[in-house]
Amino acid sequence: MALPSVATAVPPALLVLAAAAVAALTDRRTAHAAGFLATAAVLGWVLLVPSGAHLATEFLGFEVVFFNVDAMGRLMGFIFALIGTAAVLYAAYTGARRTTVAFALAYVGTSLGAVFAGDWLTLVFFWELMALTSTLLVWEDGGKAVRAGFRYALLHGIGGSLLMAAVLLHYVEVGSFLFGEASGIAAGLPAALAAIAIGVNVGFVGLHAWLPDTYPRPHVAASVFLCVYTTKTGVYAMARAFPEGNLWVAYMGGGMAIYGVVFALLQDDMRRLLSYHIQSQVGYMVAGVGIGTALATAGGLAHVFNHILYKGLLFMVVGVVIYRTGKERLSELGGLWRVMPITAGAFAVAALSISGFPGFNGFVSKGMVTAAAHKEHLATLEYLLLAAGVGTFLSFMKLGYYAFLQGEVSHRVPDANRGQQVALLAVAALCVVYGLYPDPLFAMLPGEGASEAHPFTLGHIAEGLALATIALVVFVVIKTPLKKVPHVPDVDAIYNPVALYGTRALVHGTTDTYAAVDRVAVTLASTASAIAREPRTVIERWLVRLGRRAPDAEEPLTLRAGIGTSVALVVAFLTLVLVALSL
Amino acid sequence: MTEIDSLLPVAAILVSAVAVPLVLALRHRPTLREGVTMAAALGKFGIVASMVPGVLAGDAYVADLGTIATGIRFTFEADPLGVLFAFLASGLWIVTSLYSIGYMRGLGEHAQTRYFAAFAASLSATMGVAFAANLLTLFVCYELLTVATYPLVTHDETDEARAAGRKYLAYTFGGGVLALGGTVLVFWATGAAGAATTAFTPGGIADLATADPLVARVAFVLLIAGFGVKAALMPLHSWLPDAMVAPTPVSGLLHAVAVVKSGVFAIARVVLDVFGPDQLADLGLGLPLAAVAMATVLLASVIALRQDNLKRRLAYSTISQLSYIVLGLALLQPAALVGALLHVPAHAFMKLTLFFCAGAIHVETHTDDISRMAGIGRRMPLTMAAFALAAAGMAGMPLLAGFVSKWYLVIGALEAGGGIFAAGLLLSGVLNVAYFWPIVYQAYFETPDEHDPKPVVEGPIGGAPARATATDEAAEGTVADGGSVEHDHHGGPPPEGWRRAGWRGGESTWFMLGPILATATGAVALGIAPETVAFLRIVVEIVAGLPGVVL
Repeated sequence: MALPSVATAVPPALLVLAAAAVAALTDRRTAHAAGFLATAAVLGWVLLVPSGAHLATEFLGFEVVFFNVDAMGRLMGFIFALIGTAAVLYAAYTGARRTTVAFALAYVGTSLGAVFAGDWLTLVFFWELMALTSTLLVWEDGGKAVRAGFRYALLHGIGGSLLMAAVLLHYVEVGSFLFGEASGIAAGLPAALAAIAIGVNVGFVGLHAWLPDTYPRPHVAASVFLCVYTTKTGVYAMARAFPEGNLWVAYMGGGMAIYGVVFALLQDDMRRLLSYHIQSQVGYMVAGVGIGTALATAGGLAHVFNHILYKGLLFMVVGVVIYRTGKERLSELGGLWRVMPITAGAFAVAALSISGFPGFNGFVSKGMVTAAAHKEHLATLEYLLLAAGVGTFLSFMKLGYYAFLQGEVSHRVPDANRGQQVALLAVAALCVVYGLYPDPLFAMLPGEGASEAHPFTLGHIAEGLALATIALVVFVVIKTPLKKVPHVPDVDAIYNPVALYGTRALVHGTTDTYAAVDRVAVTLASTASAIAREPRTVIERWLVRLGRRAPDAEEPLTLRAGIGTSVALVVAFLTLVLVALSL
Repeated sequence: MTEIDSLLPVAAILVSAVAVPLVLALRHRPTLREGVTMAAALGKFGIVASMVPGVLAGDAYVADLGTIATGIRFTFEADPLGVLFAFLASGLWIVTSLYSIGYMRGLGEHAQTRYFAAFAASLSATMGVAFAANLLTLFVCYELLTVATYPLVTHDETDEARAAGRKYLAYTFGGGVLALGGTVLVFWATGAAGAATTAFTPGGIADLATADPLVARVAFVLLIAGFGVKAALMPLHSWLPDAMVAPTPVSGLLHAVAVVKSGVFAIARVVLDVFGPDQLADLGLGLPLAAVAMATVLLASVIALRQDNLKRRLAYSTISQLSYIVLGLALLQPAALVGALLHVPAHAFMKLTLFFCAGAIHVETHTDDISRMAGIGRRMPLTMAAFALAAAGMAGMPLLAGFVSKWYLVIGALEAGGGIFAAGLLLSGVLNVAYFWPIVYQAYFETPDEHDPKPVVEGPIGGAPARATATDEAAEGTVADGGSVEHDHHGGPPPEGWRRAGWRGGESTWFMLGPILATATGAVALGIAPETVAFLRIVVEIVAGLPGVVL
């Protein structure tokens, strides 16, 4: 079935943005319905649009390609639309307000615009809008989310500025914004800046603290949207910027994988645990992009696809728990499998997927990235990724144990409602299907990497099972000591105070210095004018201060100079003038 | 550029000058009086708009009004740069007049006749500045602008207003003296080298290029210092925050659009049409000017972080953004010039929206301090939405005019090899987020009972829920840059919280809401389609018209 030509000339982002506008103006039900229909329509569009459809135009005086359908864009668009549909359905049944879904749809729309961009200007354009719309989505819940949203906006503003700098440096060197005109970002300073800028979005170690700071705070439905789009658009941008890979980026990916997992293990708040896991899993994706071979890039992008499915599912599961129990912390929960079997089942599927247990989708894509690292003889990176795999199993054993298995549930808690169940089970089913039969996914991956992937070899399956077993043993051993570990601060415990107190010092320093300078200037001006107007009074005051005259002296001060003194003064003045003129 | 003899530039100037006695005569018929203002505004805009197509096609309209003294002609010329400024100022006068009607009547202000008459006279002088064809005509109209705006600055007739007016006059007339000195030097230097002239020539006056470099440098410094007072270059800027005591439409149009823009416009004339980019590069004067501008951009943003009074915060934001324009001009690169000249209308639309919003808040709720504005998004949703849009544009967010000019400015800075200027521009964008976002988020997402302290730099990390602000008198009037701020408006939410006004305009009169939405729409239009709104085309025409410049 061919699409009518108007459909190939209009970016899919606009459809979702139109739905956002509808959502803002109508009631709750229509808002959710419009969102669901729009994302489903985009899903259909992504599947049917012919490859190479694009819209080349001029914007702000530069040549741009407002959207372009190639393999990478189609993959990203597909998964974005798919999870968007599930998330809107979930939001409708989880008490999301219409403003929540309006902002969420705007966020989804701008993300679609970003992944279908055909040039850097369009990408930066949508990148900044994504930061703006996601900030609004965070703020919308009010309360503690507001200040966290402000910190988020500032950090993403810095990231966006760095990306702008990188893109404009690239333009000055290459002369064009189009992706086709150069392979990735120009090497050197532009590439370094781009890596850091995209690193803010994907959560490079040190630039990641906004993830656990922001994602746990707003409404549970908002968290489902938030966990998907910003970080994965970052991975996409990294793949566009470094099509040949970059070893620093690859090792940073490995570092992210370990760092995220270690911190996740220490968390009590469920959504914070999941947020650190986003960093860890994105580390696999970034490692894949960084290694740069066909297999690695394909593995990274496959991991994007699979991660979106199971991470969305995890946030939905945790969201149902919070929605039903009102509690966000593991220490306050327990024994939920008895009263919420469907939610617990969905959790089990998601946990096995994220950990990479054979038979679930995470196993396939993690295996591809790890195998690529092995093939390129990047031993350290490979071990980092394997260790992170153990850690992932560990943290989900912790989450599952404390939330679902251990303990008694305090009172009867209802399970997920009908709509939530549909969303949960649909996504869980996809995790299983893509885990057992990944060929449809492989068909969508760009490049030739998918043909080198052999996930179901005995060696890989054994590896997966071995990691699971090690993790189980370790969990039993460290379970009790882990409870006693106190709160470990993250890097934002350093940079938040430095930023606030530093800015305060700078602002106060500047304003106080200026106030002092202004006082001096005003004093000088008024003294000068006083001397001109009434010299006698001024000199009287000075003499009193110097002690040469009594304060209450009777006779008035006389300022008269005799002829001799006058002549001397005039001659001195003329000499000065002559000297100045001769210089 | 073909020159056409035409009286259109003079007509544009005289339309509002003729309106002044009419307004004064109609003091007892307020509606007719306002009608005269609107008619003059529409007429002026029409005359200027009629010149735009010709200017885009490469013509210039010249009106020579004779010789003042030997070799000095009093001439008005509508060339692309002049038309850019005139088109902007006259167009925005229409919306500002509508807004003024709503504002002055909403507050029941005194001396409205004097206000509208002075406004018309100011716009006359602004047109004169825009169309002046040589430095002397520019100087005369520049000083007339100061005179015409003085009654507007001191409108309130309080001690604070009079002090602000005195400071304003002292600074601007002082600047005028320096500018006159520079003009005389240019005249003398060109006379020594060839025919004495101060006429604006795209690419620079040829004879000035052959003059003594020391004289040329001194002349440049004098001219820039003189015009830099109105362009609010630091340290000559401190008249601007104090002038915020004027009624808000005055602050908006004159101090965010006409008066300060005439300062940067005059600097643009000096850089592009008196000295020319090539000569300035040879004299090595670009870098010092760029450094001063960069310092102003960053320092003003830092000071803005501490201001609690909304209009003072906007004033420091203006000081910062004006130096974006001066920075772009000083970089002498084509892309930077395009960015700088595009920022003239871009900033005008955005800043005017912000000032209009501040004025509407003042009229409706008598609230001037940001710390009392928590939750005001309930009471004035449309106003704060326009504020949010304009603030996003100031930070350089896409879809808004600020993004386009920032894009070009950064390209120009990078092409000029000034990575540090690019970094400074981007840092300023982040600082804009830091001092505008708190106003937006507290309006919509916080309530009077639950908000963190503003300015944000005064509070603890992560914010803290507020105690009732009514008791916190000490928090008012934060000492800024040496000036003390007195408020006799103790606004803020009523005891039961802000009343909910819907999104259909129940929050205020349409005399004010209409202009707010119009300028916000203009800012968005400039951000999405800058060529269609003509401004980018005029700017490209200006820069392409400079000899030796390849875009």
